Amino acid sequence: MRNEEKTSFSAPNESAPNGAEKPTGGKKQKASPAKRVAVAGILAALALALSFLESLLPALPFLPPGAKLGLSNIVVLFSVLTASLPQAMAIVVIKSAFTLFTAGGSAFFISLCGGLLSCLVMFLLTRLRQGTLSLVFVSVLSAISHNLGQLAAVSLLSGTSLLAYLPALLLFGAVFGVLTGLILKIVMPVLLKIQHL
Amino acid sequence: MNRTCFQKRDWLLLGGILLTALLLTAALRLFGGDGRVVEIYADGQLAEQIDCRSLTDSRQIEVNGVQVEVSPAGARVLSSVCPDQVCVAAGLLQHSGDMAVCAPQRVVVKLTGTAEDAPDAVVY
Amino acid sequence: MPKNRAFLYKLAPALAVFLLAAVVLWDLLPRQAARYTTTSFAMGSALNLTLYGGGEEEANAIIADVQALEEAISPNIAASYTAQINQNGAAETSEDYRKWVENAVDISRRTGGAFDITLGALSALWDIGGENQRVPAPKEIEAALQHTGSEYIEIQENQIAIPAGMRLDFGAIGKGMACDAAYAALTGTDVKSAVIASGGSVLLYGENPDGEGWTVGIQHPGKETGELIATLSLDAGFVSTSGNYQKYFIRDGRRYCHILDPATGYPAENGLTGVTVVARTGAESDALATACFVLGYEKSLSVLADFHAEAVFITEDGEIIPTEGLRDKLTIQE
Repeated sequence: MRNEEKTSFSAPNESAPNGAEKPTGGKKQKASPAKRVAVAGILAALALALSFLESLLPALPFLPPGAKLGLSNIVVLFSVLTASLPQAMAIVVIKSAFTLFTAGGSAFFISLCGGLLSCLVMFLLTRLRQGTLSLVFVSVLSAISHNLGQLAAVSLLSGTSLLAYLPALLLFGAVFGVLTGLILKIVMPVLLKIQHL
Repeated sequence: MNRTCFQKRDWLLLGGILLTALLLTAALRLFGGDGRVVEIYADGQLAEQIDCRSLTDSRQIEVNGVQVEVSPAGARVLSSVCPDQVCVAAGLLQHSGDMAVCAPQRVVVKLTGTAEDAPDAVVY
Repeated sequence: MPKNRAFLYKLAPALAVFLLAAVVLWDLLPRQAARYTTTSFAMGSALNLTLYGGGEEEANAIIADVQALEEAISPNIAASYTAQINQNGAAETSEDYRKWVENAVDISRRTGGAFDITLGALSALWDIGGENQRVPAPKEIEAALQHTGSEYIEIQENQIAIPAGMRLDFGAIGKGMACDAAYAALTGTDVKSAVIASGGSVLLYGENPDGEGWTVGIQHPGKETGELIATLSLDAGFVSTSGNYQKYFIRDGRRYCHILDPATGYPAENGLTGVTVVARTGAESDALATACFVLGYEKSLSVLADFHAEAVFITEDGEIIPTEGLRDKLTIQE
């Protein structure tokens, strides 16, 4: 067990206890279940709000179906980094569940596929290389996998090959991934306050 | 805040992505044909396959509540009952690989390459 | 974290390869010739343009030229030369118009009158495809025939005159002429190849970018539009079809098609249902398609030879007969 911990984030003024809490470690968080649910709830609400904001932007025709800025990914990535995979997945599920009510079953399935795949990729990448992969690196690949998951879902639903969207998917996944990575870096302090309420 | 925001190695990633995208685009364009066949899929099945270049006039086809107009220039989704209207926003499909997808209605309009004996023109 | 310099040594070649690949690809990409397609309306039917190496600008230029042609020769446009001549018996015309009429008269002569632009009165009598389509009485037909005959057109220096009662009609050659106008509009532009279709007349301009020649489909006379009976594999040129399945009416069990035989005044009937002609100009392809339909298979052969044109004949029995030059280029659809 390494003591030098590169993936743990301390809120200012809080010193990391010995045997620091790690997202990978088996130690449970000290926060009570109620608090954990509350924090997850706030993050989920934040993700939803960002999702809603995004939906106000017009969909550009050359983008693959459903490709969006991915602002809510900021919250999910934050969750994977500072809390746990379950918390992140919970946020994804809640976010997708909302589309069930606003846009129907197919939208739910698509959103879920993209969100879960992206979540998984984030989880794997943040554990690789002893946590030295940059925010942007993880963000870009998670954005691309999010869109890939969505594309795969649409492909399944419509029964056709949507390969032609791949180049655009890669490019815009990269661009938006860089953006959300940078935004995460900027808003990190704010999010940390929520996580350690 | 120990995880860095951006590293030198990230340029490699971005470059790799750009390269892959370019290669894919080149491959798609080279092997994709010239987009004269309009394929309309509904619920995963091929509902219509039209050689748009042999048309003399526009045709309108409706599948699952989605109105598609096929003309000698290509195809476009005129209207749809779906909530997000992404398919309509896709505009005119002209090249091989161009697509308009209506996920809620499970309709896909695609332009693919040449059916082998599709004519460049039809005299009638 | 890797040191700057070490990383640079890794990065530089990667970037170099990447840039090289990008440049190569960028060069490669436009080679799949950009295709621009659009449709307009002219000469009474759809005008389909497919350009390789050109765009909206060139397409609009072509459409404008075709529409200008229509404005000059259409009898239905009051200000056209044709309308003026029909109305007043004579009119001053442009040099282009005079050339068009001369050309049409020449074709008329060389087809033994099977093609003729002076059938306006006769066509109006039948009005096939119009509101008053009917079978005229023999006397009416005889009377109308008196007012036909390209040999009676007087082409003078500045004006063209026709005898009283005659009416000019470019219907059997107009779409072919549109293809000629398109050809003229394309020459000298950057457009490398194109397919321009005006109704049933087609211009194949340049070479097909896929390198395999142009494929022209021949509409199946008995089936839905778009269903083919055969295809022709052609190089650049002009193709037109005339048939009895497009415009006709049926009365008392008999079909009367819109292609009239100038010799009899009645719709042509020689056992043919369609003729497709490949010729050296658009006007010739269109006019000859009509002429061959009127003349029938046997008599068409020498006419086609005279114009160095080729054709495919489709008989009422479904037989497909190409002329010598098209035998290798014809593929019959299953």
